[in-house]
Amino acid sequence: MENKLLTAFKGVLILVIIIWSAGHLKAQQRTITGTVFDAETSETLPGANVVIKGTQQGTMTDTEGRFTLQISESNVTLVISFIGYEKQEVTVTGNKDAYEIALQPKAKSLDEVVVIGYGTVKKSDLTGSVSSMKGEELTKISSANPLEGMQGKLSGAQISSGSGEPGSSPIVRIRGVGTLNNANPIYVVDGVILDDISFLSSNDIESVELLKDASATAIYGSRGANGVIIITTKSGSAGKEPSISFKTEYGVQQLEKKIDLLGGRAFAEALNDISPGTINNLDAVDDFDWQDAIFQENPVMQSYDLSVSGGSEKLDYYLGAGVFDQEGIIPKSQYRRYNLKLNTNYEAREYLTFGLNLSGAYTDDENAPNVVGAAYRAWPIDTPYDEEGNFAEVQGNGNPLAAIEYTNNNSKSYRIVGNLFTEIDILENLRFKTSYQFDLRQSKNRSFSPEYFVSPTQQNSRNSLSISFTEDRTWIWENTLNYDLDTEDHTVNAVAGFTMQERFYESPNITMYRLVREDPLFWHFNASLTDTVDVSSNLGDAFKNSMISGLFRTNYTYKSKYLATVSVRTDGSSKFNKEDRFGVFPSFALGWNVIKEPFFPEWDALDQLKVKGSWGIIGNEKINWYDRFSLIGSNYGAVFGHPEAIRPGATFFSAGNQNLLWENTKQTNIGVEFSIENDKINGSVDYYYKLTDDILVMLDVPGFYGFGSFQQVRFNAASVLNTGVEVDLQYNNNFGDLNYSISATGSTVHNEVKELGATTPTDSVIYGGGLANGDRVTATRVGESIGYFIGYEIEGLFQNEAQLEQYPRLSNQDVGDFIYKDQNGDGEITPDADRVRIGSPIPDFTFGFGVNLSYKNFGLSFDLQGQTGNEIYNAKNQTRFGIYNFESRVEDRWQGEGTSDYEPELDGRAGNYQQSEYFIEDGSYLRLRSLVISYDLPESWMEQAGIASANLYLRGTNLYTLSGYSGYSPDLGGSPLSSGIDSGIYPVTSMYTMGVNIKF
Amino acid sequence: MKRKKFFSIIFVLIFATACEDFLDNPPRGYLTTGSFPTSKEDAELATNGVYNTMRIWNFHSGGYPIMDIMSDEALKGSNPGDGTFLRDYEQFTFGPTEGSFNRWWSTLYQGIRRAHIVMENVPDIDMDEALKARLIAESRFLRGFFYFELVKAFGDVPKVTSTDPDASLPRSPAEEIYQEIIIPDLEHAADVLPLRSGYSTSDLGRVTKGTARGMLAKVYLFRHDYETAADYALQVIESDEYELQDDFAEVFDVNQPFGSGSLLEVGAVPESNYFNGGNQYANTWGVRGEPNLGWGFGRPSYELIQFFEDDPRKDQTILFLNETIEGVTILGDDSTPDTTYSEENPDEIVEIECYNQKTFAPGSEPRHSYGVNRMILRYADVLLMAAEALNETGQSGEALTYLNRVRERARGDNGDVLPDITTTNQAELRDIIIEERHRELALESHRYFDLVRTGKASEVLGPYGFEEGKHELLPVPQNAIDMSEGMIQQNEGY
Repeated sequence: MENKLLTAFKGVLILVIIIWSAGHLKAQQRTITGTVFDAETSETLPGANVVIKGTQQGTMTDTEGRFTLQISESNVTLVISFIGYEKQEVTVTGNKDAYEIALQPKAKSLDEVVVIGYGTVKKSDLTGSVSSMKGEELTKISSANPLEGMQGKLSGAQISSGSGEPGSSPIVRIRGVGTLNNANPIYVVDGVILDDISFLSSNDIESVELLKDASATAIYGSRGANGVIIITTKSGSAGKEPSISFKTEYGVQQLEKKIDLLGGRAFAEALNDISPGTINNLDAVDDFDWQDAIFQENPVMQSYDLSVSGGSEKLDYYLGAGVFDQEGIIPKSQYRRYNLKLNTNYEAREYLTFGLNLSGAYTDDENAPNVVGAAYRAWPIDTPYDEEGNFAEVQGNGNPLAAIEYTNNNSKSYRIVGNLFTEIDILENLRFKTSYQFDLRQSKNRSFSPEYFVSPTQQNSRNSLSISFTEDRTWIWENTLNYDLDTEDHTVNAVAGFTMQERFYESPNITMYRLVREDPLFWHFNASLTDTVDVSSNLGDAFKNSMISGLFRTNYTYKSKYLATVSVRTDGSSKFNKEDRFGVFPSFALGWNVIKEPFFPEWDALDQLKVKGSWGIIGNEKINWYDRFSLIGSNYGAVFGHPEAIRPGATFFSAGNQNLLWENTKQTNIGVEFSIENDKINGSVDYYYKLTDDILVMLDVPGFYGFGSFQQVRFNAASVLNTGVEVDLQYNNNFGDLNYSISATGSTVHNEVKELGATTPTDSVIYGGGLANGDRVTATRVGESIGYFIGYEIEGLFQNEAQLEQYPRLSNQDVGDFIYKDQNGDGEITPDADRVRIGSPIPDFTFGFGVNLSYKNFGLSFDLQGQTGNEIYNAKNQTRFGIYNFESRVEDRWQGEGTSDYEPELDGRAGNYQQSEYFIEDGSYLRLRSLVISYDLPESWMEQAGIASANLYLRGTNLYTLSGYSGYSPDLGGSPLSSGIDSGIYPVTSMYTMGVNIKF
Repeated sequence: MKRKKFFSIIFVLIFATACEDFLDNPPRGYLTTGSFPTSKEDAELATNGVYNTMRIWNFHSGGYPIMDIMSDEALKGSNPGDGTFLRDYEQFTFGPTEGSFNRWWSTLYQGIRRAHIVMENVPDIDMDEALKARLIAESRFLRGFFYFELVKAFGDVPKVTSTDPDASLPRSPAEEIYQEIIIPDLEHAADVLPLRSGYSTSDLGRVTKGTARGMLAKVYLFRHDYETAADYALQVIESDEYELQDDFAEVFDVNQPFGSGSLLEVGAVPESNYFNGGNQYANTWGVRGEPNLGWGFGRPSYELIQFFEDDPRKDQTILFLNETIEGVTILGDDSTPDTTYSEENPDEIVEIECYNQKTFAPGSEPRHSYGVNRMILRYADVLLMAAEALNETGQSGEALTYLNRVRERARGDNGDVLPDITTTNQAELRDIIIEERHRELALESHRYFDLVRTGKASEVLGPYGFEEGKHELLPVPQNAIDMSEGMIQQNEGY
């Protein structure tokens, strides 16, 4: 009886104590202590952050890695973080006051996996030269094309925006200009080899790898010579909660700068100089700014992206969908893209996996009216409208506003790129993969020109509608066998494969005239309304290209110290004739993880030091399918008879060269990779030597061949050397709560032509850079870089009659004109002897510099990008078929002896408009490419809304460009023989954007 | 094990299916040069393709009427700010990099290649021999004619005689080109081609025996072989295949193509597309503004207007402002001054706005002017060549017969003007005949070379900038020199 009572009392007492304790716990302050250390090395971590979740309350560990924290609530979670380690959360329980917290080091950059062709490799085992960046870095630039986000981020890559028209693709050069024809790299998206990635949204990209040296690119054999950009898109994760993210952006654009042109009165004075008495009353002239007229105010860019990813144990998926819409700075140049991404993997059996990577895009692109040149040339004393409000004749190059009004050119296209594959684990180490890949494109371009009359040179007598359809399908069937062996000392990874592919292309074009109404509803074909119908097609119409390839590579590492890679690929292409069809492309690479050597001094701070070298041969066949055929065209009729009628005729159309061979590049690469203090500093330095032989290039053929004006033929004509050094550096650290990382890349290029072949009509120089007036402003010659600018050097101006006798001149030059330098002293100014090198479009040095800061919920990042050592040829100023407006520097022109010694007089003659250094400008620039300020909304707010995270940001793109160039933008790009030439390029704009990124 | 076997079978299959055929992809939609021409139809197509060369815009001295602008017959034209590079032709300040030369040169050789396609392949075709011979002769005529244009303009030129020329050719002396190509080709054509009356109406415009003989007369005239020139010219005259049309204006009437006086004419239909049969030649000369928006280059010079005096051909050669023709009143263009005065002497007229009437076509759209046929060789020219050649060989009396026929037709009903010429003084008659050519053939691109070959260029064109010893020939295009690695030298003075 007594026992029962005692038990009960004990129980009640305990209960009371518990309740009291609990209550007391709630009400009382507690002191929590702990030690934070590295989970792998057990070293303590001083300076680690310990914060109470959901609050700003926290502390830092001391030099011994210990911390003390006062807490007053019972349900508390501590968040412990330290740079280079995974964040960890620890729940404080009632009965424990001291905690030992082990932090997991973040996957070091060394252990990161790098995607290379047909496989992946650990960074520490990599023997090739690869630059990489994460997908999130790409999204820092608001652009439809992901390449824009890579500018300045990948060492070895020179990316030029070129045209600023929405939807245009940047020009990419990897390790210099490797060839004289098509120097574009190839892109591999989810394993599919492509030549452009405009259909992808940056949001769907997980990582980008740029393969630069032979060892990395040789596996792509025939197409790897200009570099390979591998894009891995996002995938889901098996067994995790699906995550949903939504992002939207809104931005406005602005023209960064206008070109300085003459105003009305100054132009009238110029006219009077050319032809005295043209304008009698200088005060009565109009002053119209044509640039203001053609550029829109604040065109808008907006984008919406949604993605869902997740998976179960056997299935993972990633689904992304987005819309991108950008108005252009010139009216009628809007670009809109809808894109869809679906990636899924399904493990049907333990040894059997099926997968699908699918990308789809639909784009609707208004193609800009070609008015940049017209606005540059238009007379500022002319106004766009006459008294009745109709378009008036504008001298120069036509009325730009009328040109905009009367241009209606739209392209709509579909693109589907996909990869359907099966992987079978045949044995434990042997895996077979077969994949069927496809790239399907269909587009339709509709262009309508109404009947109009603005002036005799700007008129259209009958309306016309042109529609061209393009179908471009590629399918690839790839089979690979992968072997992996991992023992204690040795790892071997080998891949062997066989692929076949075929591409079919057709592009008919139909034009019909005299539509009965000009309304857009009528911009469709209807047989009953046609007057005449022209059916034509480009030379590229209807072809089929095919290729068969075999590939093999093996990676071997011994004790993670010595690395070796061997690869070889053979490709056969239908573009060459039977005897020369197949090319073989081998490569070898060696690597040495020096740091693992016992003799290497112990230096705690140094985590990684690797030395590597590679050599290989890679090929290029980026020529047209018809380059080896000489073709007959059948549109060459003659008119006879009374009444006259056209009788059909057929004759020579284009010339081909049946002896074409593969172009090949031999590349040597030597590099060092290092990492210091647990990834605080890491970087690499590479030196490359790239020699390309048998370069396939379109050459002019002497007129007496009879191919017609402007016809060219493809030859294996040249050898080019590109060599340089690339540096990649990254520094990450934190200062308390402020985390910062700085990255810098720089590349140098020395480009030199080694040989111009003997099989061609010219073996000493190739002229290129043809302008509209027929002038060739670039030359390519042994011993110089590709496509350097040629022209006359200028020694001054003819100040008086006496000087006309002293120096030689062209026959249409007089006092006040340039004194061109007589290079060979023969007393004559001739194009042969006196045109010399006056500049080069190839930069000596390209670089990028970026800083990422984050402090608690705030983030700030900016990127600088630029290049030096290159020139620009201001072609739009030189090619004049009549009197056009002038750049404002002519205000300093010569108007009498001694008034100027560099700016010639305006006399309407062509003497000063020959190719000369007057039209060369410095193309170096430094650009603030992006500046982003972001803020993560507090987690407490998020939890209430059921959102995992929300990030708001403000971003400026192309905010400021420091450049000496007078035109709109200095990064022009261009094809190898015609690069850096400004003939009136669509300006690149600055953009101010705000956006929000929400994850559920 | 089973799995291994399975996969090895698949591998073998994969490799087996990949055969070389997979990599053979012939062109779609185009013939290759090896397979054309191989039939009778092909032969006709190929020959028409050679004629087609004459409608290529760049065939006309690089697209612009530079030969007329260089002569005293025409000025640049259009409004003052348009085509300023053409002023260099008025003033003889052009150089070899000016684009017209390269385009003209390339287009003439283009025609020559097309002729070679016929000459090399048609002989092997199994077809009616007479037709075959005719087609080959037509192509040979055209080749000879294209080479004649080349040597007239540039002098020594590379000699290309097949579709597979050497990569690097020097310039062959003009004499060699004459002896080996021009004269043999034209003579062959003169032998084989039918008479004009031998063609059906639908074939009018194809070259005839008369065409070849007339061209030979011109060739020999340029070579100063007056006896042979007279010979050929008389053959044409005495064949009775040609006659002067009653009215001078009929020669250039768009609705009367291939008339009785036409020996070589470039047929064209009013289509704005060269592929559909149009020729932009007349549009380049055409009246600015109404009716069909021409470019207005090659404006008749004020000298020419004054020179004509009361010659009825003045009104038929030159279109003046406010003139009404075919129901259209010529108003010209606002941006072109009606009258331009000299800078030094404000009372002196140097230019008035006017246009070439010979290239005029009624019709409200530019494409209507694309239907104008360009006259290359006509009967009046042959008559005047006969007169000139006979005069030079001392037969001035006979020369007068032919000279006066031309003047008679030009006179028309107007009995007071253009009296018959009666002098038989060789020197006097020589000058009169050159003057008559100037009247009859104005703005047809004959004047410049007429002045050069008769040694009068310095006298007449010197004041404009003509330099003796230089401007008798045009410069070889700079592109040709650049590409020749020194094999091709430039003409003297450029």
